[in-house]
Amino acid sequence: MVTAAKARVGMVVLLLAGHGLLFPLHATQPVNPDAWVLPGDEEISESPDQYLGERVEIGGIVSETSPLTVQLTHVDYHVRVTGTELEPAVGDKIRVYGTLTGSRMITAENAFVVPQRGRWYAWGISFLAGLWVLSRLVRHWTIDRSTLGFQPRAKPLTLKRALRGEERIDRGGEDA
Amino acid sequence: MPDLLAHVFIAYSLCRVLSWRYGWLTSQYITVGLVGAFIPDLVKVMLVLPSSVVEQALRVPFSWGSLATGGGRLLSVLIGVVLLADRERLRGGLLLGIGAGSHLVADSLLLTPTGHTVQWFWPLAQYRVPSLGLYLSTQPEPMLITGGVAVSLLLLHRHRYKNSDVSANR
Repeated sequence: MVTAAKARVGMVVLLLAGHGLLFPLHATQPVNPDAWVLPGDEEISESPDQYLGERVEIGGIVSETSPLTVQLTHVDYHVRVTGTELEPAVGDKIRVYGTLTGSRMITAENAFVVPQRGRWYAWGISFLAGLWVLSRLVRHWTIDRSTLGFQPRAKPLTLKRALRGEERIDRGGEDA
Repeated sequence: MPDLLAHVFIAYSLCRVLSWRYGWLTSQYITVGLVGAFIPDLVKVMLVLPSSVVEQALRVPFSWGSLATGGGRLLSVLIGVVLLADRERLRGGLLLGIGAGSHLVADSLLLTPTGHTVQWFWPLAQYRVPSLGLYLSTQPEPMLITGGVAVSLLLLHRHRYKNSDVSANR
């Protein structure tokens, strides 16, 4: 049915527009320490004096170890971190929660190193997960071309059946 | 977030156990649960196209971060529900919700410097819920443990149905 397909496309466009509204709304979220939305890399680099004495949360790459200095992520700004027993190496990625005691000085309450090698591992393994789920989706579900709705296949698609072009007979799943 | 594979293993394990209780929950519906587990990680698009790049191109404040909030995830699940054929909406939507929900819960256990993680109720409220701080997203342990559980459940399932003809219910 053309109307069903149109309604479906219309609804998806509407929901995507909802996402479109949320992106800028999230970017302009005010700092709210009570809700644990703390000043971060951008806020500190833009107006450090405004947040002096406040709790902040930062992340970045260690550029010097003594004194411990961190180059913040995505902004050209570095801060010194004191009050931590963490002993990272230059180039390590660290995340820090603490108090902004000077425009380029943070007294840490909590800090840890994010292992860099682990990040590549997470990307690779997540990509594999994507392939697995996508292949299951293609094998188990099909799109009804008249309504554009997803429905289960009567029989899971196998490579052999796909090559023979049998998947077309599957549409509908069960008799209406 | 632990890595995506861990999230998919968690969703698989949940759905597999539920399938023993609910006969209609076949492998095909489990697949929908796995797709649901993917929804919250749509935020990973920011790794390919950082918010700052989009911001410069569109000249408006922009953050992919909304995809990782409760409200953003609900919208994404609804897109999945709309894409399902009419008669699959209830069951499919339920499975998408289970997948996305299990992902939210697992993310709420992540280690952060402040001890607070996901904005479950945004845009209604800004509050970031407290976290147990069990692991970092880059650690392999959650994937290994959840993978072990998922494989055990799969083997148990095969054993249970060895003598009955439930070939579709792999």
